[in-house]
Amino acid sequence: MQRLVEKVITPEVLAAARAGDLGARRTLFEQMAPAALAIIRRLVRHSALADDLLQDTMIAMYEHLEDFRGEAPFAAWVRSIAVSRCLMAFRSPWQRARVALESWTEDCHPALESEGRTSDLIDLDRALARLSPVTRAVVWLYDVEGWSHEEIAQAFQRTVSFSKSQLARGHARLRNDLAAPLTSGLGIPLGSEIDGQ
Amino acid sequence: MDSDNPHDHELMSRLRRLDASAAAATPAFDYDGLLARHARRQAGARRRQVLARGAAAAMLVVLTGASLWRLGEPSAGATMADAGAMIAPDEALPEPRIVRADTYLAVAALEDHLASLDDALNYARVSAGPADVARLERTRAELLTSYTQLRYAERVSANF
Repeated sequence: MQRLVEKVITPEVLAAARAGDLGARRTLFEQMAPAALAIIRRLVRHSALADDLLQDTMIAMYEHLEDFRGEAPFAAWVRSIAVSRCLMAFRSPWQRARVALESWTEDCHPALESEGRTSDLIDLDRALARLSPVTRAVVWLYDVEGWSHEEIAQAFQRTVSFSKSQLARGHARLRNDLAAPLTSGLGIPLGSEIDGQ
Repeated sequence: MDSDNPHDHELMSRLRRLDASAAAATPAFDYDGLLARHARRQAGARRRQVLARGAAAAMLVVLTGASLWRLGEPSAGATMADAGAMIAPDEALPEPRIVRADTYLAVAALEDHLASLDDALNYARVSAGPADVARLERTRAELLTSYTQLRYAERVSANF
């Protein structure tokens, strides 16, 4: 899958979309939406909320096309919008309540499609899903998206120490979970009490 | 990365492999669906805004009506003030009381005597000698003492 930051939008399409050309706007959606949804699902992992956040991201992209100055790649700009929308959802008590309520009625943590994925990656995906949303976001943004601690701190409106501590905590938790691959559905290592571990 | 922990580097590479292995995510809606969803959300937001404004207007009307109703109705403070205003003229009138007829007549007689003495004193100060004036003043003082005692006795008997 091509990552969001690797998507390239030509200046002609961008200019046409700014001018209100519907075809160019549709092209922008088709180019950006799947990759934006991938990162949103990585951070949120709640399918209905992820769809809403994708909608917010795309609408914000269209509404602020005039504000894009071209200092960074367009796809990186869209990614920053998507991440900021996810962080807003983390902070929203209404969204947290919605996720908690809907978790009772539907599978909100679908594993992302994994064609040809090895078992260690499947374990990693499950371990990642068990992290808290904030810790998971810090780990993903730092390790995969390549953000710096300063960028993460700015996005979360916290300090650099917050980013570093969340990353260290996330890594420790992931290593711990991956070290005990035989787990129950609740993430509790099976037989740990029996074995006295 | 800040950490030199080799396990962190290994974890990072596994996470990147996980990202690379993920299949393309397919949005639940296309561009037209996005516009339709956005339109529905905006319509919902407008409906909520209208409802909120209606509720606020209804609340304002109820509060204004209640305030006007309370203004029209005499308040507790106003009732007390009105009662005070109604009582005040009564207090200006002489207090009704029962008095003895003989006491009333004695008081009236003394007041008449005092008035006559005042006339006599005025006349004496102009035409009579100092001895007559002194005799009239002693008489007036005695009458005034009697008058004072009589009014005191009248007041005391009225309170029993």
